[in-house]
Amino acid sequence: MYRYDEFDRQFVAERVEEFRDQVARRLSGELTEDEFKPLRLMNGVYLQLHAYMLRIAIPYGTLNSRKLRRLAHIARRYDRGFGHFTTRQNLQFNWIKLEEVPEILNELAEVEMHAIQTSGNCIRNVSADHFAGAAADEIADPRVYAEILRQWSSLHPEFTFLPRKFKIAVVAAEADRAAIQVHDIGLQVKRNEAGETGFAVWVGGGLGRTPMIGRKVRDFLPEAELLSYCEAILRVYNMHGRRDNKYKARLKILVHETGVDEIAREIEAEYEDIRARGALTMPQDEIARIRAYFAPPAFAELPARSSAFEAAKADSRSFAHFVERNVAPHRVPGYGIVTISLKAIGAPPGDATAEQMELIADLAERYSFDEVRVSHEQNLVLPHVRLDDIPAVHAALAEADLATPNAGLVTDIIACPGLDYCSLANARSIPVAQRIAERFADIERQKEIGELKIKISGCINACGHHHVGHIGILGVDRKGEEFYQITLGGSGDETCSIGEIVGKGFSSEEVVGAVETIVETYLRLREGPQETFLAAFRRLGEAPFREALYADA
Amino acid sequence: MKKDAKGAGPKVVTANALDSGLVVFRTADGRWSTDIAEAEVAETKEAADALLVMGEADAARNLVVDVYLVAMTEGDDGRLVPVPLREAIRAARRPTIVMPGEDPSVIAA
Repeated sequence: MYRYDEFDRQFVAERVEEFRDQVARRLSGELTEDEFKPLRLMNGVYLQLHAYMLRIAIPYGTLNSRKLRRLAHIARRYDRGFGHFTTRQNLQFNWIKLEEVPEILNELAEVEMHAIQTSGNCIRNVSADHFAGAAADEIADPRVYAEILRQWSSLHPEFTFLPRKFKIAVVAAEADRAAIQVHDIGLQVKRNEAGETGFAVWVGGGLGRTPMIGRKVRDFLPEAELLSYCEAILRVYNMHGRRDNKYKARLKILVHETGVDEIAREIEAEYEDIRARGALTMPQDEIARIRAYFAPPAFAELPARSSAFEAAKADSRSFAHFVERNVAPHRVPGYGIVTISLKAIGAPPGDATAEQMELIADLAERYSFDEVRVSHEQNLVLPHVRLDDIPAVHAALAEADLATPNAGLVTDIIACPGLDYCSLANARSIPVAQRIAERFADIERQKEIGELKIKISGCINACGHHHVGHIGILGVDRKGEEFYQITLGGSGDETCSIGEIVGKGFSSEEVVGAVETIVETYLRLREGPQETFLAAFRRLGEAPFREALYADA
Repeated sequence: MKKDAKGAGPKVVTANALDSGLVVFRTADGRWSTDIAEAEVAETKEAADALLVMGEADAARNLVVDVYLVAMTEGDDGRLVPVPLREAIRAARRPTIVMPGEDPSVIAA
């Protein structure tokens, strides 16, 4: 579990008081907006379409019931009774009063939370596989390394004013559930032939207006050298990253313009220099100390098969659907990983009410060793649930409209807040997601379609990850009207690819029908149910889809 | 969506209140109201420029932040409404969707 270390507690308390003073000085007029803006952004406070928005860091997407209840309390007391979970595993509140932010930060600090590293040109909150510590296919808990990176990167003086923001993600399985190849640094924990732990390292991935897949610069970096190597990457970026043009300032542009071979050479040279001084080689006892933060809970020895679980599947169609899509294999026999869909048909993706958060906190406490995860796909996860208990968990979730059995299906849509909330957006995202979900609401139809990831962004900044959607939708402003550009064939997993624009955009009225045409074309042309949309697209290319979409044009 | 209002036609001045962050509009008597119906409407470019100057002076006095002009047009019921969707959403003081926990009738209404 993420927890403050001895430095965090004092530091965060001091930071809250510092910001309280800064807010008071802003409200009294002592600070101008130009002076105050960078200060509020360093504390996660943005000015959005309707009001101030507060973005709260959820390190590697890990929460417990106490933290989640506090978020529910903040939603109810200071906002409008709900929060929005983001594609960076964070939480946003949309209607925050500036004068109340210091008190909110104080309340967060009481449960070891904050809003640091959620904005600005720093190393942002490190994200990780939301199944960490539970997944049957992982070789280690990636959060150990995410936490080491967090401690190293939080307010790192050398990397607080980078050319642009910097994002790191960590996984520890071959299956990439954290989209590491579209991060500035992507890390995959792995073992070498000698059984030693280390990392494959990608650099220069990113989405936004110039999407790039990261380039692999190390196939195996020894575990102890994680910080030396990341520091080397950051130094090369800090030295050479463009500061003259914010649209060309990300590491991905530097890698692209310089060439990965030259960047890799510079990283290695810097790394050798850092390593020669030995300052950042991580001692094994320190890694072990951090690993203890993430010690597995006291799992019971259970049979792999639960008769209660099997009986419930046989008895209830809705439970069987839920298990099929929302329960993933756990590494410990007798347990399962439960995905709580925040994508009820017709609901805004990623939103949860205070009451829903409290229910999930109760379930986590009772059934999941007090752990909850936030996924970058904007769902929540109970990582450690006994198979015996999953029927009861499902029943409780269903009561709160949280048991939609659609994880990974066509209605499990990522959508950014779009023009309904975001100051940068060109078009609305949420209503498009809602209408697509309603069009495909029939669960049997969804199951027939199979795995299909739709991702929607309301502007080119791509917070909705549309470039890596199997079907990506980008909202644009065309002479004051909302239009939607469709990309096909993107993927954020270990087979990462950037979607291709299929043709001219669609109006708001047309876009749902266009998605349906794409899906119907896939169903018509696939080799069988075992061939997923992505596999079929990769086999067929975009031509048949373009033809189907624009046949009458 | 671009928020700069250029060209002819009626304009109002908008901003966000410094303390609450809420969307506000400048009124004829120099207040800032969350109700766009109370906004002073500038019918000419000169009047709009003058209104913007007054709004910016209020920003300098730390009453509001992010001051700019919004182009308006006559709506179906004859009342002035913002031209850009972005500004219509801001003026409505809410998203176009039903928010979690909200009664769906708020949108139907």
